[in-house]
Amino acid sequence: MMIKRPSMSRRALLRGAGSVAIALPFLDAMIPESLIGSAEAAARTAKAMPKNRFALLYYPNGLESDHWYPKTDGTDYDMTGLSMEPLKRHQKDFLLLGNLSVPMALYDAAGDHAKAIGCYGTGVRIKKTASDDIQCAISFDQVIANNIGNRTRFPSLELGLDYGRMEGGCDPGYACIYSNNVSWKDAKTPAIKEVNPRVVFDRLFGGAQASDHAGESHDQQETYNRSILDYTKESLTQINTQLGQNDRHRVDEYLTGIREIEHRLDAPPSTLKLPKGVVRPTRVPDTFKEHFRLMSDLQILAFQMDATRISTFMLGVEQSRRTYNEIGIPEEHHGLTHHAGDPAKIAKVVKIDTYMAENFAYYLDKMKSVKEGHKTMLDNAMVLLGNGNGFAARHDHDNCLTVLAGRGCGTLDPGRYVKFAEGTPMTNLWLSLMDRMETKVERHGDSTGRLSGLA
Amino acid sequence: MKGKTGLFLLGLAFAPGTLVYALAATEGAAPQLPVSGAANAPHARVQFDSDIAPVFNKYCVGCHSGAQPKADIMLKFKDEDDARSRMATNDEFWDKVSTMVGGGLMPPAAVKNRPSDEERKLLVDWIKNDMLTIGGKADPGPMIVHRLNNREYANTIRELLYLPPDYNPTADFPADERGDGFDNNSDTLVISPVLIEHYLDATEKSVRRSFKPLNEEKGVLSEIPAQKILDASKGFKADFANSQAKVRIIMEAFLPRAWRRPVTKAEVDGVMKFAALSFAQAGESSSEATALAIRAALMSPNFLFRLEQDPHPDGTGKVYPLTEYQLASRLSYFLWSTMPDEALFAQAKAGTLRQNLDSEVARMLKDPKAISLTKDFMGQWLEIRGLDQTPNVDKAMAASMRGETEHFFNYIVTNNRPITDLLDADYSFVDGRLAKLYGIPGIAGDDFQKVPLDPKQRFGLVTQASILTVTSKPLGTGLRTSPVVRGKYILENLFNQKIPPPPPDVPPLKVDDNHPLTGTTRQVFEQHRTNPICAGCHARMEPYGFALENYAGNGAWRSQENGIPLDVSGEINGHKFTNPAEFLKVLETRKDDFRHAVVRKVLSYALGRGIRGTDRPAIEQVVAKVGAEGDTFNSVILNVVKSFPFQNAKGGAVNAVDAKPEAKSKSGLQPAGLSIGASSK
Repeated sequence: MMIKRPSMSRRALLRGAGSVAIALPFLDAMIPESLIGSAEAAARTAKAMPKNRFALLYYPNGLESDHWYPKTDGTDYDMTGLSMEPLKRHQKDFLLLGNLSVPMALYDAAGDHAKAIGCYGTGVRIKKTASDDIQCAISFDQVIANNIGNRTRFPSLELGLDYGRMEGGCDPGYACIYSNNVSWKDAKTPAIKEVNPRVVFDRLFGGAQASDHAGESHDQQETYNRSILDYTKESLTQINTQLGQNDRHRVDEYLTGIREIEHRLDAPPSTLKLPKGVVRPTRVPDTFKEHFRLMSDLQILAFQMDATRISTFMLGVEQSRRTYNEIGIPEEHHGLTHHAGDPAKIAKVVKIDTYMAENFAYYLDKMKSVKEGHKTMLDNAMVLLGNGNGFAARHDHDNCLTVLAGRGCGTLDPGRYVKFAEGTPMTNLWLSLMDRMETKVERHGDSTGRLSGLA
Repeated sequence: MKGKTGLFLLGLAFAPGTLVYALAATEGAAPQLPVSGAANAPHARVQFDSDIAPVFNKYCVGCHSGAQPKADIMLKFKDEDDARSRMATNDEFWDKVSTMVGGGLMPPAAVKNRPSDEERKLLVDWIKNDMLTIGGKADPGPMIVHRLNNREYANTIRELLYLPPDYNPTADFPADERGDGFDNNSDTLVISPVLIEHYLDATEKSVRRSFKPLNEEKGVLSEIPAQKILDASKGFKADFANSQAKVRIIMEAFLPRAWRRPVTKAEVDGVMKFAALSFAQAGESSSEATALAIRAALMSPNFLFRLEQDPHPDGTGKVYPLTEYQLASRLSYFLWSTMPDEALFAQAKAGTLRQNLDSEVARMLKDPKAISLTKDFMGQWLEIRGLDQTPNVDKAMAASMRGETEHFFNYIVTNNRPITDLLDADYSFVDGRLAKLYGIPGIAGDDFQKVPLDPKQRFGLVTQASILTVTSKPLGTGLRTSPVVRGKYILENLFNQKIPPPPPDVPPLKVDDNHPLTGTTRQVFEQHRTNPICAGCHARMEPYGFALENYAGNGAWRSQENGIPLDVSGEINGHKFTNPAEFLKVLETRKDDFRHAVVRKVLSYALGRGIRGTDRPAIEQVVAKVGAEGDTFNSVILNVVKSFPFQNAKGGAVNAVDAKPEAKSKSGLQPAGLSIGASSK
């Protein structure tokens, strides 16, 4: 890690920032090499405390819970033989949280996959509709993004591995838009995710050099885009005065989107250089593992470059039909979870859960490999692996998978299995996580209070 | 870096005006078509208190009343107005009740006290005539601003900028969300920053692609696509010197095409600012200036949205007939998934489109662009677009399966065949791969050929490998049949009958490759019927699935399973059958249900929204006409096009309150239901 490099001041980084205050993360590049390890460096590190980051990795369909949870809680619990065993090497670095549930998903009879995810980040009862009048709510990650997202170029980053079905319906009675999205900007608008690593890379880091603006300078390009966006805003505002309520919502979506892009244009160009060895992805990998790892790398890179501090990553849409041929499972994950007690099917579901744990362990390895001063990125982040379905075979929306990794800049005390009271709303965790992202809210959806025992 | 102020140094100070360009305004007068829907349908007057309420009270209120009525359907009414008011909070209320009562699904089979057929008809007719209208007047339903979906955007950009068919500006776009089974549902076509960035990028790349790299010496646009834009601009061609006037000529021709309507002088002025900006930034280059003005025009909501603005908005939410230009756009996006062509624009300009609908629709259906009805409408309706995603189906075979159904459907479209061919055609289209699967000799290669079918084994859609495959389940490395999924597919997609989802916690069929079946699939499935919770619905679905047990998971014919001869007999609605040929006769008894299903799906796709209760009168009318007109494909399309909801729109009701108390965010920061624009900071 000891590569010769010039140190630079925060002021240098901020040059050109104009009137927009951009908080920079702590970068080890800013500590003169001579000081590394010294008391002064430690003091500087403390002063330049990095900002916390939050990532949600949503694992669709739920868990075969009987094979996941350890017998005892507290510290030093034994995970031998469990599907979470691949996480053993990180045991000291995550909290396993028990009994968090999504009670709002218990309403309205069937449609459990749509409800599992729709109610998960929002804590509301979603409207049962196949298209007319979609009603979800803002998800907690977007509440954070609305609050502190303006400190980074991207208020939040939404990633995924697939877009779901291209035909027919999804969960009966519910539009696919519910099953496909965990992040919601408001009641009707999900935050659209990207699944192509190349497109994500270009969006985050490509900038002017990624596209072929023949003859146009970067400044010129930006001037043009700003003017076009200004013009579009004017048109939208004009149109809005002539529309009814429902119609206005779509126009407002467009206006809000433009404001977000303008914020990005206002931000100073990033002076951070991509770490050595980072290459632009060129294709969408075939296997879950490769695709997952590439997207994970991008999410972590986005944090490293402080492009954003809030990101959700769907490992699949709810009711995902993904098969796992790469580990010898040609059946659809979702179909297998409805195993009706069949031991052969259960074994396959457990194998998929284990595979997911392996891949999550990779994610944590990767995050730990990013040094930030004397710490790692995982010390300065909160990474949640979760789901709203609970026990997959039962769709009970109870004791939902919740692995919270990282130290959240010292606000979390990992290494324990903490069980809460049965039926504790997931939204109580969201309040606690929002606190740690400088976003204090009284309530979120069906929350009843904050969780204690995380730190 | 320049700031964003002071950019329009050469901004032109045009006096605001209302001059209309190019496509010029001969806006269509009010439509001359008869108004369809219930409004004009006379019916014998039934009395709510004496005729209707007693039926509900006798059979329904036992479960559907009180503090928590079953399924949130409250059927105890104070009076007829109270009954009508159900639509205020749930516009599907009466449609749902009608479906359940009319389809014999309610009261549940286990209930002994059941209404007679006459009583059912009485309720269904009363719902249709008295409940599904607004004060006795037809309601075209709401229309959310419709964003062009990815397909529509790509097609339109190609057409507008004369780009080649293989150019796909949306290759990197996120997939569109779908609603009610279609990707053109305006309720779910949301916009987000990610998409706006893609639009900015795609616009720039597409425009650049359309203009040849500038030849500085000549200063002319010489590539053909750009030349076509020039040709379209009043014959202006040569000596493309640098002047705003010339850019203006191009934009006056371009803008009405891009925005699919006449434009005002002020609107042309709006994009001409970009010509000025380009001159200031990039020097005297007309092509650069034109390109930038076009980019702005293509980011405008007037391009990206299919706006159907009330020509005389008064904020009361009144119903108004579409203008001729609005009608042209609805037609072309419905039948072609792209912008109107010159002929449609010409009709709209002359105000003659509405009176020439018959000939225009016939012309459009013959156009190669109508292939989108097959690929996109049928592909989503019949779910065969998902074949590529179906596990355990080899890609080449998936393509062949899809090819058969696409060739078959497109044949019906282009030859104006009866839609009932979809049920009972004695022909289909196969390539070598499918011929082998079906056991049809003498056909090889990748080209599809029309073949006669052996009526004992194959007919219509339901015996096509594509549909048999998408209704099967993966098992090991192959597929197993699912009589339930097949039955549900037929009832829902072909016969317009909704099946409620299974209750939670019901163990599914126990089948696994490590535990081979000891009986046939049917024998195992029939065990489910012993569970009374399942029996009601399964008894409706499975007879269709069992009838198709001669077709393996991949659609291949089989006469036995696991060494046991198959029993494919059954009884549906009192009609017995013992083999596929007899099953076909049963399907043919349900032609009216089939018409309903087709019309409903076509109307939903045509409008780009879900079907609502208030559409039912229009649907009934279209169904009746289609039946009377020999079920031809053109008749379906034309009658949908002429239907009340297609021809009309409802103006924006200003300050309309969203009466949805449920499911609002209680998040301390931002109650959902506020517009996001107001709360982003």
